Amino acid sequence: MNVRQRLQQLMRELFDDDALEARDDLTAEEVPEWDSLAHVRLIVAVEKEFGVRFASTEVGEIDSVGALVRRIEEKLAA
Amino acid sequence: MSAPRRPVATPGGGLEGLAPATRAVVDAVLADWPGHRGFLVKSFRDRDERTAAAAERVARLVARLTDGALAAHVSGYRWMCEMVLEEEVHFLRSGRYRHSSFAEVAALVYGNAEEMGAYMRGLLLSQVLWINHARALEFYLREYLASLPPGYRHLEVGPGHGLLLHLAAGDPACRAATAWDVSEASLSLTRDSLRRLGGGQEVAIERRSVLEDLGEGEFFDSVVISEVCEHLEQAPAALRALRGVMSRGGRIYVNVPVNSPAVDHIYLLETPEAARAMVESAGFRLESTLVAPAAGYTEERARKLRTAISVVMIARAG
Repeated sequence: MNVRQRLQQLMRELFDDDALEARDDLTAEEVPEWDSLAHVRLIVAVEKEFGVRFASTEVGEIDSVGALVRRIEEKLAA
Repeated sequence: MSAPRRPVATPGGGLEGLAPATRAVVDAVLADWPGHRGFLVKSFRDRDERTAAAAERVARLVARLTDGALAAHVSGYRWMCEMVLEEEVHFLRSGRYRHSSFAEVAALVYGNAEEMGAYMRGLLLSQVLWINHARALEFYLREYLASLPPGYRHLEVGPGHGLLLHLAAGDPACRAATAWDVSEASLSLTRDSLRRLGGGQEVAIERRSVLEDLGEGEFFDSVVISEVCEHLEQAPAALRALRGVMSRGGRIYVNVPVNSPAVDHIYLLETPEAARAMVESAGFRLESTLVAPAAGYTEERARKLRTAISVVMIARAG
C-alpha cells in the first residue's frame, strides 16, 4: 500500500467511516468526526504508522489530506 | 496548537434548540473561537432532555458567576482546551500523563496564578459545554443529591468553582456543609463563588488535606470528591481516609476521568473498571455508575481509541 492508501485506512478507522476517500482536497470541514481532538489523534496515529514525528507548529498547519500526504512523504524522504 | 479551520455558523449549524443560558455560553465561545464549532456540535448532538435541563441550570449559575465577564471565561476555556490538546499529543505518544508528582505540578501550575485563573474559568464553562461534564452534573442532581436522607451532613473535597457545593448547600435536606482543599487560592475561589451565587446555608471552608491524619468518626453522611483523584499521587489512600470520616451507610460521589491528559493530571486510570476497583478497594460498596465519554464518542469507541471518559460513581460506606 502507498502512503495515501495507508492514510485512508487510518482515517476510516479513526473517523468511523468505511466510505471515506482520502483525496487531496478533503478537509475537516467535510468530515463530521474530524474535530480538533480527532485531528491530534490522527497526527499521532500517522506518526506511529509511518515512523515519523511532527512538530507542534506543523500539526495546526495541516489542513487537508493533501497537505498531510505531502508532509509524510517529505519526512519519509528526508 | 490550533486545529484545522472550520466554517463559521451556518443557520442552525448543528447547534439549534439550545436553552437561553446555554445558548449564551455557546455563542460567546463561538464568537471568539469559530473553529470550536465541530467539537461543540458533537458535544451537544446526543444530549437527552434531562442533561440539557441540567446544563441549562448550571449555565444560569455560570451567568451569575461570570457577571458580565464572560469574555475572560471564554479566553480561559480556550486556553484550557488548547492545553488539553497539547497533553493529548504527549499522552498518545507515550501512554502516560506528562507529570506524576504533586510537587512538580504544584510548582508548574498551582503556583502560577495567571494560569490557574484561566484554568478555573475554563473548567467552569466546560460544565455546560462538555458532554461528559454535563452528564456528570445531571447524575449528581438526579441520582445523588435527590437520594440523600433528610438532615445529612455534607463534605466536598476540592470544591474548586463551587457549583456542586452550592447545589448541596442549597438543598433543604442538607443540615451542614463543609469544604476542604489543600490550596488557599482554591478555597478563596470557592468562597468567592459561593458569595456570588448566594442563597443556601453557610459553608465551613477549611484548608485541609485528606492525606493528613483525619482521625476517625462519623462526621459526614455525604462526601463528594469530583475531578480530584486524578490530581493526587495517592488517590486510593485519599478515598480510604474519607471512608474513615463517614457515617456507616453514608454515601460518596466520586467523579474521576480515565485516559484524560491535562497538565496537572498525575494519577492515570485506564479503564472504568479500574476506577470502580479503586473505589471498592477503599471500603465502599458501589450502588450506581455513570460512564460518560468525552467529546461525543460512544463508550465503545472511547474505550477502543482510549479517549477520555468520566466515570461517576455513587457508593455506600460499608
